[in-house]
Amino acid sequence: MKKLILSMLVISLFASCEKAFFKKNGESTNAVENFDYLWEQCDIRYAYFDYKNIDWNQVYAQYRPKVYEDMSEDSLFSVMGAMLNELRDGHVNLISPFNISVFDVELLGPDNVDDRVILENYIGTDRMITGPFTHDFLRNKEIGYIRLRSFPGGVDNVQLDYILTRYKDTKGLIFDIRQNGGGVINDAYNILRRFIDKQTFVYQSRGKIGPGHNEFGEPEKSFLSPAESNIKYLKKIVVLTDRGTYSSGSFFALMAKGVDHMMIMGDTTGGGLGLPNGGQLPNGWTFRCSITQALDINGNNYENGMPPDKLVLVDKLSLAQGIDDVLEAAMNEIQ
Amino acid sequence: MVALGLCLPGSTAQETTLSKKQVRKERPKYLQVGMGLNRGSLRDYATSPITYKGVLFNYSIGYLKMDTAREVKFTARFNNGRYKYKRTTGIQSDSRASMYVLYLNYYRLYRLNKLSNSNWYVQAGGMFDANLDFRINDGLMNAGYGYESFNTFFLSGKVTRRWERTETVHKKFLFIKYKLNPRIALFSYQLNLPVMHNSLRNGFAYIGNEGLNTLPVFKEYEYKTFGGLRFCSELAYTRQMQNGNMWRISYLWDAYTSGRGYNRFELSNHIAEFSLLFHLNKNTQ
Repeated sequence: MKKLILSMLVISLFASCEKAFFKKNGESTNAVENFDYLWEQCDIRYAYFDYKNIDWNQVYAQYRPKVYEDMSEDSLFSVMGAMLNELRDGHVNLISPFNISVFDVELLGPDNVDDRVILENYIGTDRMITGPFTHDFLRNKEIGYIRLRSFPGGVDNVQLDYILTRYKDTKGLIFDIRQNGGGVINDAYNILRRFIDKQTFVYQSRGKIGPGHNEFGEPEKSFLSPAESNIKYLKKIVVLTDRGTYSSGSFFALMAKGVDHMMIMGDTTGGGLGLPNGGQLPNGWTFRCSITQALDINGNNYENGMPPDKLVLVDKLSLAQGIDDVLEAAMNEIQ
Repeated sequence: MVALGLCLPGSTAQETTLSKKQVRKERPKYLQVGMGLNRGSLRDYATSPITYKGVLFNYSIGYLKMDTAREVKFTARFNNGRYKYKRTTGIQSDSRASMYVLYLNYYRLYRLNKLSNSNWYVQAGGMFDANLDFRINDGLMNAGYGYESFNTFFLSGKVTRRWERTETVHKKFLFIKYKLNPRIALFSYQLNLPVMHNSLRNGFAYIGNEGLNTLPVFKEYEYKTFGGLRFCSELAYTRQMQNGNMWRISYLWDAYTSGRGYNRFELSNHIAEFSLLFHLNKNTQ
């Protein structure tokens, strides 16, 4: 029996030590280890290497020599942030307690809107603000204009009922999402559901299923169902976009492209159609990078920006005179 | 005193004269309610190579049928709390992951007569444990929510040392008189070795490919029938009170992984628990 007790004690000691089959803690402040970890995580998870024609090994060769073991943290951050910006993706960030790296998508092209011009010369100071929407009538109440600068996550039925009831007798709507940097995608779904009366194929998406740059699952089709509310708008809708239309903004434009009575006007969107996946480095900093691809209903990938159905750019001289060429073109399109 | 002796685990004299049905009916049954603390660690390679550590609250409720011949137990255990990582060198930073885990556990153990006697008994059998966890780590942004399920079939062995004092003993230490009441105490160790350990874990794209028309829960998760390892054990000291109920102090160790791969998962629990076992069928004995 003594042997039995002894053997159980030995087993107990062994059993209480999970280190026997757990890997060692990966925590490290070593600059090289953190750089390599970030590079490898992006290498296996990022979804747009081939689409953007990025040679990630070449990027490693370019930035790795700039990293050495005793370098300061802000220097390491600068090198790693610059490496991530080679991906040219607003959904790729490095986040530390002292800095956040950002790829400024809106700088890919000029702003295609001036909100002051719209306020002073089109909707006026008596415009209505309903939740995140700024809106008013244009051209003798024949056109409804709705401006949405972001998708804050608070779009609800009361707001949509009020706005769509107000503009139900217009000839068409202008839905302005220029410089809309995104937000909560459910807002985009909830708005678009008011613009359709039957289930509509709006986009498809595919995600990484393995470490290879081209290891994706089968594209999955997404169908948008109409809202249960009877208050819908099924007449012509012109969606205004520009390079600052990003992430959920781009998604909205991509889905609108699949709706028959909606058209896209203005400038190419900024992209940001990949869902960003978060992660943490051995030194505790965090990062994110796009791990899925969203495609339009024909399988086109618009991560670099979706071109509008009708390209219209604002002219600075016109803006100086208080004229928004894109808005004018949209109104003409409806009338 | 007589009642105590009848309902104690280990009272085998009666069993020989009873039918199997009566034995089953009269086998002591207990409702176990326990609380304790869990010093645990967590690592999810899909999101971080860092091991998070923390102390979680542990609550359990169980139904136990036990005598020296057989032991059957069902336990529902809930743990919640926070795992933390705090960087102390260089520019400090910290991260926290809230954790909620539900464990459902069932085992049956049978006495091995050849290895047992009146003071020691050895039992063997099987155990099944299923768990579902849910984690929140806001610092990981879109990957901030994590949940997975692990299910394991074990082979189990248990060794129990039994002490019994049948009469009140009067003693004296220096000039202080005291008495030792009748009691039964059990000291046991149970080790569970995995036979089949399966996991339901995130796929490669941790956050999943979110379509509009599919249920997002467990979307693109991967089920592995055999993957990873799991071991668990319990060291327990149990004392019976004069009213037939018992109290127990136990140390439970449980550690498991999801196996190899980019999304490897590791979790360990070290639970110190105090529990009360309420004797449910005193009157039938």
